[in-house]
Amino acid sequence: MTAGAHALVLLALLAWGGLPGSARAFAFTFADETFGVDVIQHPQGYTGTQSLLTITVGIDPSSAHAAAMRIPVHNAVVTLNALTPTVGNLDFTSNVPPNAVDFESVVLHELGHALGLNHPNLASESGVSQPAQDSTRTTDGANNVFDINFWTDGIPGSRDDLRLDDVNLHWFHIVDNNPFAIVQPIDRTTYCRGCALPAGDNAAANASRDVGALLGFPNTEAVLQQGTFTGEAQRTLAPDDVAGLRYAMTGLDETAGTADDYQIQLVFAGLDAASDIVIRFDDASTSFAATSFSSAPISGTHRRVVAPVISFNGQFQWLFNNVMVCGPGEDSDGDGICDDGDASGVAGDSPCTTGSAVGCDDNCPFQPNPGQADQGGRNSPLPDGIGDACQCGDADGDGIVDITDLVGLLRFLGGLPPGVDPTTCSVVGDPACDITDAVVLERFLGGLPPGIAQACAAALP
Amino acid sequence: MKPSRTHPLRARGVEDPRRGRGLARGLAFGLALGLALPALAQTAVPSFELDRDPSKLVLSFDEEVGAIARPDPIPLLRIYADGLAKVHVPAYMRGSGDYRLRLDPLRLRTLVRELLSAGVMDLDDRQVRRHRRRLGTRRDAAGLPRRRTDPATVRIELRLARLAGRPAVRHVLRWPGLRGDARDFPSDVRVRDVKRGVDALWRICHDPRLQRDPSPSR
Repeated sequence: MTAGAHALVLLALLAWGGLPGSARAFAFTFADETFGVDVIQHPQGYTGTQSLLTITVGIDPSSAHAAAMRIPVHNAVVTLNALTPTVGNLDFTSNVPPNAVDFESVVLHELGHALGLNHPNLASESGVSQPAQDSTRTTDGANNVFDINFWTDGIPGSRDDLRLDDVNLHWFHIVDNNPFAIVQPIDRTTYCRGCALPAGDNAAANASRDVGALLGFPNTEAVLQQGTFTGEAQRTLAPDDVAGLRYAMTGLDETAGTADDYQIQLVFAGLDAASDIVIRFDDASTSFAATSFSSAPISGTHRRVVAPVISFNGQFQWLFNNVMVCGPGEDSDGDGICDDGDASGVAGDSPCTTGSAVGCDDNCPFQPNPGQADQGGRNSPLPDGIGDACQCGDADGDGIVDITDLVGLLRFLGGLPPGVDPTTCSVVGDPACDITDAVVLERFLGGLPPGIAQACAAALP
Repeated sequence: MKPSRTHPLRARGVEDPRRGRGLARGLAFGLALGLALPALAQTAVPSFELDRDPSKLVLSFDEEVGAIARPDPIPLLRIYADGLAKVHVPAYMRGSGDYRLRLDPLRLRTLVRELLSAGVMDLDDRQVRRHRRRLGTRRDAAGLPRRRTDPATVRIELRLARLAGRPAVRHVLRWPGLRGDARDFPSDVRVRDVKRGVDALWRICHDPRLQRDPSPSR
C-alpha cells in the first residue's frame, strides 16, 4: 500500500472513531424475485446461534498457480478479518502492470460473494450493457425490464436515477443514502432496503467510483462493485463492503449489540481443497472469475451460503501480488516483514536474503531487521538464512560468527573495549554473555561440540 | 436381421445367442440412427447463402467479460465471406495480439451450418432470458438453488446474404453465463446446442494454424 493510501486508511479510521461498524449500503446474494427481496445471506455455517463463525479459506492444491495464489489469498483473508473501511481504496500506483488484472483485488471481491454479499450494481448478470450495469442493484420489476435512466447528473447508480417499477435490492442508510460516509450503528435502525428514501432522492445510491467522485469521495469504490480495471489495485475494503458484512453480523434480529451478534473469522488454510471456501483456476467454469454457491434457509428472510467455490480463468494476465500483508500475530517483531512471509504455512522455510524482503520469511522474526541483511553465517561469509540482527554468536555485529567474535568476547569479559552486542553474543541458550559462551564458541571454531545454540536474546520471542 | 457369423459381439464372448441377437439388433438400430441423425440435423438447417463480396463480415464472436470494467471493444473472432478469420486477443489476456487464418469455403459453410443447427439464429435476448429463468426456476424448485456470480456474455453475430429465402439477414445471439449454464444444466438441449456452437468458434480461436496478423485493420 502506498503512503497516500495509508494516510487515507488513517483518515478513514479517525473518522470511524475507533468504533466497529460504520459504513453504508450493500446487497446480498439470493435476494431476488424467487427467494424474496429482503433476503439477508449469512456466511457458510451460520445457524443463528454462533457468536464466532470460523471459516477456512483454502487453495485447491491441484490448481494452476496454486503457489502463486498463496500470498494474495492470505492478504485478502487478513483484509476481510480486519473489516477496516477505507476511502481512496483505488490504487493506481501499485505493482499491477498496465495490462494486468490484480488477482488479490479480484479474490477479495469473490470472497465477498462467498460470504454472502452481492454486487451493489446491476452488473453483468442483469444482461444490460455498460454503463447501465453500474446502476444500483434492483429486480427488473413488474414489466420484466430494467428501467435505466441516469437522470440529470448522468451518472448511473446515483441517487437521482429513475428506476420506475424496478424493486430496490440495495440496503441504504435511511438518513442520507450515502454509501461512502461513516455512521453508527449498522443495523435495522439505520439501514433499510424497502423504506422511503431521503427527501429528494429517487434511488438508492451505490458505491461506484463515479458516485464516489460525485459525493466527494474520489478514487473510492466498493470492492463488491463489479468492474475491474487493468493496472489497478483495490486491496482494501470500502465502507460499503464493511457495512454489508457488519449488517449480517447483527444476526437474525438485525440489531447490533444483542445476543445473536456474531463475528467472522476467516482462517487461511493454504493449499487445502477441503476448506469451507475453495479457490481454484478452472477455465470451464468461468470466463474471468466467479463464485458459485448454494443457499439454505435459516429463519424468515435469513439464509446462509452453502458450498462456495471460487473459480478463475487462467487466460488472463493475472498479477499475483507477492507482498504479504501481516495479520495479527504474523509479524512478531513488528518490522513489517511477516514471520511466514511466503504464506507457506511454515515460518522460516524460505528466509529472506539481504535486500530482499518480499515473498519470503523474516530471517529475524523476533528482532527487527528491516533490510533483512544476512552477510554470512557460522564461520562463513555465505548467507545462512539467519539475519545479521539475530545471528547468535555474532558478538561484533558483522553477520559472521568467527574468530573476531571470540576475541571480542574475551576482551569484553576482560573489561576491554570495544564491547559486544548483548543480544547476540550468547551461544549457549541463555541471555547472559559469559565465559561459558567463550568456551563454547572456541570449541565451535575448533570444530568441537556442542555447537552454537540459536537461542540468544535476539533470536527469542 | 440375422446375426452375422463374424459379429464382433460373438467374437468378444457373448454366450447367449438370443442376447447376442438382441444386442446385434440394438447395435444395428443405433448404427442406423447414428447415420440418420446427422442427416436429419442437416435437413433441419435452412438453406443459406453467404455474401458474394469477400470483404463482408459473416460472423463475429466474443465473450463479453462484464467483470472487466473497460473491455476491449474488438470482438475475439471475426470471419469474412472469403473465409478470412481474424482473432483478436485483448492486451489483458495471455497471448495478446492479432492473428489470422484462412478457412476454406467448405469449412466456413460447415461452421455456419453448425451455428444454425445450434439455434443461434432462433434465439433473441428475451427468449434467452426466459429460457435461463425457466432453468433457474426448475433448479430452485428441485431444492438445489445455486448461483454463479460475474457471468460473461457470449455474443455471436451472423450476417447472411440469404436465409430460408429471406435476404440480408443479421442476427445477434447474446447468452449471459453460458459456461456456468453448461456446467449447471448439462442435459438441457438448448444450452448444449449453443455451447456446441460456441465450442466450434473457440476451436478456430485456438487453431494451431493461426498466424500473427501483420495488418489487423480489416
